[in-house]
Amino acid sequence: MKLERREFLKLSGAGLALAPGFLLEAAQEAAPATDGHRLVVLQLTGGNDGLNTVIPFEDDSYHRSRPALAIPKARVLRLEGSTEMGLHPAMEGMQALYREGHLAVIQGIGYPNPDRSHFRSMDIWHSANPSIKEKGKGWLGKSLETKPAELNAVHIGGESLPLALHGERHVASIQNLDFIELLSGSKGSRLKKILRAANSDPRPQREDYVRGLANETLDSLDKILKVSRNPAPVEYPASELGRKMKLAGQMVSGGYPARILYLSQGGYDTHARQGDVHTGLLGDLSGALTAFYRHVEKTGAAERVTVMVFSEFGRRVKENASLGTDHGCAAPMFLLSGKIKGGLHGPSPDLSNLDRGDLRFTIDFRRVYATLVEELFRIDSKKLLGGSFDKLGLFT
Amino acid sequence: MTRGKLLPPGQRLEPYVPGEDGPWDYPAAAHLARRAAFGAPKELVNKLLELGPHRAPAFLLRGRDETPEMKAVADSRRRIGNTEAIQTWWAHRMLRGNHPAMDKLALFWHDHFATSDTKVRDSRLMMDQVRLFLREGTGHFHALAQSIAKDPAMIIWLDGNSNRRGKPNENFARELMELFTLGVGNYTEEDIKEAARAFTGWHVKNRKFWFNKRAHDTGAKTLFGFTGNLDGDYVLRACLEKRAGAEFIAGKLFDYYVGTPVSPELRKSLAELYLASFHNIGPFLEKLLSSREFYSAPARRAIMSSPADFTIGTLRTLGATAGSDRLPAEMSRMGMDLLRPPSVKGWQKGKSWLNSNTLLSRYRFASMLGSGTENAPRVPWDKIEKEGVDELFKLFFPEGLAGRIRKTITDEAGGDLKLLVTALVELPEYQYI
Repeated sequence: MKLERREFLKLSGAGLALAPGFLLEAAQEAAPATDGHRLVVLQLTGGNDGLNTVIPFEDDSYHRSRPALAIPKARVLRLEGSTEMGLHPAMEGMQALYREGHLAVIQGIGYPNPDRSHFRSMDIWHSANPSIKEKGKGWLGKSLETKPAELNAVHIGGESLPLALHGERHVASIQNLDFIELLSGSKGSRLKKILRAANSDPRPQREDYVRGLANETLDSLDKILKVSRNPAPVEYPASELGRKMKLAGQMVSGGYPARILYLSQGGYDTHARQGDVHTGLLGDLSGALTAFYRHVEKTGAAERVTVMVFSEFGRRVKENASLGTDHGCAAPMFLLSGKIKGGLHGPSPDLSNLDRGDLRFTIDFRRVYATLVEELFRIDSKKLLGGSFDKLGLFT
Repeated sequence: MTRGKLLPPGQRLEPYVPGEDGPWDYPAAAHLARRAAFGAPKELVNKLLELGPHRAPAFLLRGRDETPEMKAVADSRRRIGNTEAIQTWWAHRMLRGNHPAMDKLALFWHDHFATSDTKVRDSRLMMDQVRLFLREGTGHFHALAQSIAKDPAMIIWLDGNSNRRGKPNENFARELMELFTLGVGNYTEEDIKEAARAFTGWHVKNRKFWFNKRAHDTGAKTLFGFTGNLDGDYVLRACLEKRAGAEFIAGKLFDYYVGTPVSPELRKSLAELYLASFHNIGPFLEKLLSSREFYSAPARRAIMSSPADFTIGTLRTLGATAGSDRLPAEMSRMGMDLLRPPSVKGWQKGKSWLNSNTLLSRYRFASMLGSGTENAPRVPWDKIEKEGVDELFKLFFPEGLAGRIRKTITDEAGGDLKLLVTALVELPEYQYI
């Protein structure tokens, strides 16, 4: 991921007079419908340590299990209204969002027979299927298929398309804005014109797949270029996540037609020397989420977007001998929106009732999925998830 | 070239008879060049055309000595010895070496016995493994499997050193059966447990294979219903002797080189053809690459090009030279990080090669061809200008391109051949070989 500031500047409104034909063409396109609620999925890759994110600071066994890593009570950021749970000290921005009622913390998320392999657990989350055998379609990919006329998705990131988005529909995956330059400028726009012309004719099945993908990609590039020209009214962290969230904020604010946006932040596999690394990650996460929320608040989009933050699993309650934590099970999730019922949802972690050293889950993650697809996309979750999962009362 | 698909499965693998089964022409020879090696350089296609369908595969696959230039590049890159240097060595071989068909086959084995330097962390051992594929890739599959089971990079990759008597590690035994020789459904969990015991003590010491006698389990083991003091060699032999193994490896090579759908009957015929070659990969491939099925209409342009096919193939087709040190990064952007496959299953191939990012990476590479910048590949534009547009189309699409598409892009390019080449390489049709 390399999304340089200068590229955004180059593409900003100030340069419009010099913009090549391709740019103007995109700018003149009619604004797409903007009324549908957006879902931004933010994946914390590697297994976020939930216990040091949303902290049971009054629980002695928390402090006993983690002599080196436990956050001292005095440093925990208090969550208004709770006497037992608080946030990691690096999460000041999210503390404020919580106070304002825009952040929901759903505790004890997991699934039956938890798998402690990164890959398998991630596949389970992506497919919404704890007994997944073969990678097929993802829960969002299936959502796209259910409502082809209304739903579109975009993936922002350099990794390959997440399984969650796999399905019959093409999903554009945008790695960085270098690519926009490739197809703008005088030579680039000529090339784009050739490609557009050559790709206008349908092909036999095989080649038509590439044609569809190519057209989808070119469309997305045009539209992304357009929204990325709107300067963000807030400062985002200068990190990779900050840059990705900024583009997401521009897309949501600028009417980019994707209803589903997918991005990830890596580095959560903290087996050793967790302290500073985790602080850095959570600070980055909190900063990026806060900037995003302030951004969509200013552009009037806060009530039509929800951010869902998840990780493939939490970590062991006990710290290990390398000042880190190993793979665990249940962990909290975050939902951020102008429409959310803020606060703590679900029972707080019970450290006196562990399953082989790991927290037991109390809420199946598929209940969150069911809530989101029903409330935001009006999709029958029973069909999508292959079973009935009770919705959670998360939206106002 | 249309008759192949009408024939019963058994006959589809019989030798292609020019005249009876279809023509032996430039498009057919170019098809062979693209599949057996990378791209379709005109000189090579003409040479294959002259040899005919039955001598051409042997010409492509038969052993050759490494040229002094390639030897020098290999030595210098080995001295540097990091992943990038070894990747560059291999990419340079593919592009400029004298045996691209062997590199293409080695790439098959690299994907089949997928080992990644992210865990091995010894790029020279990775280079040794690639050289093993280059040396033994056309040989007897049993010998190759035996060599790979003792290959230091493979042992590190699949945790061989922690496979000890009393504490077996199943990693290698499992992948040997699931991914290397038999495929899912042809063994039991019990077989894996017992096979792991047979491989106990197959360790690496001082970067070399070492049979650690003290760590080897000499107790009785039962594999596929046979009990005895079985060792690793026995397990390898037993896996390879299973009929399912023949179907598995023959089917996988077929997918890589021919790429048409495989029915259960065809799978059977493939196994028979493979067994008739007595597990010898080279002779089996020669039969595949001269079969009716290979030259049938459904097989033409049926395979999604890999990043290696796309980059190396395009440069070879154009007769371009390039700083090979840039090629691995280009291929990596397109989803193929040489020597670092994503998992022991290798790369997800076919359609999975393309998503928006990798497609745009292909566009970016295509744009670079004609950019004239310092880092751009050196393409012989004068020669291409002189030969003209018809020759250019023949070079990239010898079998032809739908008339409307050809006219559209020629008109839009307006005589700019560099732009035309970039556009040709970006066409949906060109993404298939």
